[in-house]
Amino acid sequence: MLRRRILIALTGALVLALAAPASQSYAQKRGGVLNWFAYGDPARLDVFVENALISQQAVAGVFSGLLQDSPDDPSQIVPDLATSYDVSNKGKTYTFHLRKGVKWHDGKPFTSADVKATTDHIFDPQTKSTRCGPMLAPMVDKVTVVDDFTVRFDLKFAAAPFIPSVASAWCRIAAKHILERDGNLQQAKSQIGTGPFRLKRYERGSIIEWERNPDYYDPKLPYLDGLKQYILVGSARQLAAAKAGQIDAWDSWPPMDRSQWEELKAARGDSVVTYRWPINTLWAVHLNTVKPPFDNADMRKAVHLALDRQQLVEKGLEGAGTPCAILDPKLYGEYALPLDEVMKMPGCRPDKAADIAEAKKLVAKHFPNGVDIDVETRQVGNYVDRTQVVVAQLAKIGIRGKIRQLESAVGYAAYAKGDFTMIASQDNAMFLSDPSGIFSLLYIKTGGRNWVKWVDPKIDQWAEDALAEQVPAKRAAIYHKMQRLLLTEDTATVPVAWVEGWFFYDKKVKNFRSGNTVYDNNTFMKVWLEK
Amino acid sequence: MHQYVIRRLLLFVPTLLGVTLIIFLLVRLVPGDMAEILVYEAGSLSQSEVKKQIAQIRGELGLDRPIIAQYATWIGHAAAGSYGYSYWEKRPVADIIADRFPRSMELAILTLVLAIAWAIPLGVISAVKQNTWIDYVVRVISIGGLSLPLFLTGILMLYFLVTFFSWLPPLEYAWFFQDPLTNLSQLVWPAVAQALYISAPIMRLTRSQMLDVIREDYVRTARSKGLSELVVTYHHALRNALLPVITFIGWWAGRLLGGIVIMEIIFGIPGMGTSLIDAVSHRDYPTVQAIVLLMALVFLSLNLIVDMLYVVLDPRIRYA
Repeated sequence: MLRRRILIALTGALVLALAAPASQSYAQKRGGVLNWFAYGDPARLDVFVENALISQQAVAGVFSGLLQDSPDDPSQIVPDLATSYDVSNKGKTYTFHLRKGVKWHDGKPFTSADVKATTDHIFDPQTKSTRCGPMLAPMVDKVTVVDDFTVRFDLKFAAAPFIPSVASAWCRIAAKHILERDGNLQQAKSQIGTGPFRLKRYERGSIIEWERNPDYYDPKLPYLDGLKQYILVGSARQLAAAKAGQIDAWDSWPPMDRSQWEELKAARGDSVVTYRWPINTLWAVHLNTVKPPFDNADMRKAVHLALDRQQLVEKGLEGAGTPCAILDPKLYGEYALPLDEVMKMPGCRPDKAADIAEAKKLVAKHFPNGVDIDVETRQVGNYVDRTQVVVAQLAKIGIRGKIRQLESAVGYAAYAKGDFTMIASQDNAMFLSDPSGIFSLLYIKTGGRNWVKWVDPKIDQWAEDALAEQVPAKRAAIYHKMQRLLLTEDTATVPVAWVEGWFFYDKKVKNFRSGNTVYDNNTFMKVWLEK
Repeated sequence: MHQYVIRRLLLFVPTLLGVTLIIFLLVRLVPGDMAEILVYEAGSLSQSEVKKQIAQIRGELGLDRPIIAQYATWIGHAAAGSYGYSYWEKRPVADIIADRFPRSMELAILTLVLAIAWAIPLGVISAVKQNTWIDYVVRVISIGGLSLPLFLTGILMLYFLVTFFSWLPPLEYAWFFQDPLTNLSQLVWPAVAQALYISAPIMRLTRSQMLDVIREDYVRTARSKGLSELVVTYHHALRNALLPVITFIGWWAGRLLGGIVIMEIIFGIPGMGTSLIDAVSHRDYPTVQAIVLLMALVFLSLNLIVDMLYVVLDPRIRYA
């Protein structure tokens, strides 16, 4: 039996010790309230059932998980309620050793029964879990309480994304007695966690406020006395609050665009740190394979060849994006196909002349007089503007698009029902910081956003192989193979770019780190304010 | 007089019933329902799971019942004062309205008071000083206020406050009775923005009515009696000129509710407008129906009040 004792606590501490500048480790100051914002009113706070960022960030600091993305270096996974875990049975069994002496915010003790109650709740079909359930359920066979502070997860297969999923901000641990009492975590009264902050109040439409948890298992944390999330709807209001110094950080969705970023810099000058960062979101063009003309592989290929990703990034994203990547190297490192290779591929290369000529031929082969199509887009952000650029590019090869604008919610329903020909602008956000996420969402047969009904048995098989592959280099090789196939042979979900955005935080905010996805590292447990 | 009032009150009931039917049908004409929105937006479920979940949520919400049965249930409950339960906010709709309605009404009243406070005096001055520079300035202001779209006025006001004063009202909403100064500092800006918009037509109507009235014989008679210009203008002329203006204000007060939705979003006021937008985007039918019904009720009540005021201001109407 393979048995590896992984002392992640020790490793995490070592990483921190090496990574943090010496001066910083002595400089942390306690106290102060950080002002942040949410882009809408979450209304419901159940992190297991909701799918919107606003619901997750509303309670991000209230709950802990077994593991978490390191607040100091979000690319590392470090302990949270579990101090360590063992892997056995050829990677199919994970035994978590839980932290002792942890208290829920209402004073009751945390035990393995809470972990079991949480997983039972998430896997219950009645819960209708939208994030954690779909992440863990395909991998987990059963969860067993070994003793009060040990819990075992038996997997259906040795799954590489299991640990990242357990550390995901969507997979937090809830209290058994609260789930039994309330049945879910939708209301403010149910927000009893073990996290660094307690939910102090939630005024609908106005504010969500956290206060320091004095009984947090790490007595040094959090540094802040509290945090206020103001509910600010609309970019005009959000930018005005940022310019007036009413919020200390903007690391959330929606990011600023370039003109907003410049306006902010002009207003706040040197008092803020501004930066550009990926938001772990892929802009893709979706081609419906069960409707003409994109039931034809040549037509799909023509679109891939004709799209000028560099121009789309420049005009649609104001330059903030990584063109043509299926996985962004900034976020997925070795799992992403190197951009040098991607940029030489037909369709992705900056010089478009040969690609457009080839695309024209492919269209003319089936539609000598060109073809008229509907091009769908949701009325969100600058989606309509982006769509116009896509339509203009496709006109060059004889595909004449007529834009059909759909209200946001109606658009999602239309897409899921297959009521579209081409979705020209759709950002697909990853809720799991693992390379499997994009393929599980868009490219496998059962993918939640495989709206185009595209099936390639090779991709499905490789996606499964990659899930089970434990050796990173071998796993990376599989993902490279998948990316090459999708970019060179055929795909109906055509990647345009990984989206980036502009953000800021006030200079008084210290030890602030952006998460790997907008959902991660929102606990602010190690952030402190320079007074 | 009594007959007139009773007739107006009786008309109120069928009008309101008609409104309930229109609201009920309109929200269901918008494509998609809450079940679809909840499930499709998640986007992480497999296709077979999606269909199961949509059917289950529709069953829970009663959306799988015939539409007539849904309407009958809703109207029955509404008549008994129960507006249902918001599946989106997971609380009774009555609680949502109790939270939001007073904030929106405060903003509406403040807007109306500000608009009337400057529109009527300026309209009178403009008429009395016809074709002078004062008249021209007032007319430019009124045309300017009417020409700017409401959302733009609101955004420009935010921009103005941030750019010139590096200041915005506090982000956290304060109730009037807890912190009146903060509350007013939050509401006065959206109120001014919207008042600028609605005061323009009031100002113009007051001016044109005054121009008609001040040429009437009885005004000339009042002057010839040696009354001061102030008494002639404000006591004799304005009272008669105000009748159509009051009707107009009543009508605008109803329209004000639409503008308040925009102002609440721009200035972050957690009133009924922001709640309505949330409810519409999530197809939260009970909340949408209740809020629109309440708005309709306010609109109809304002019309009724205006009709009553007519009776007070113009005795001839009592005998019509």
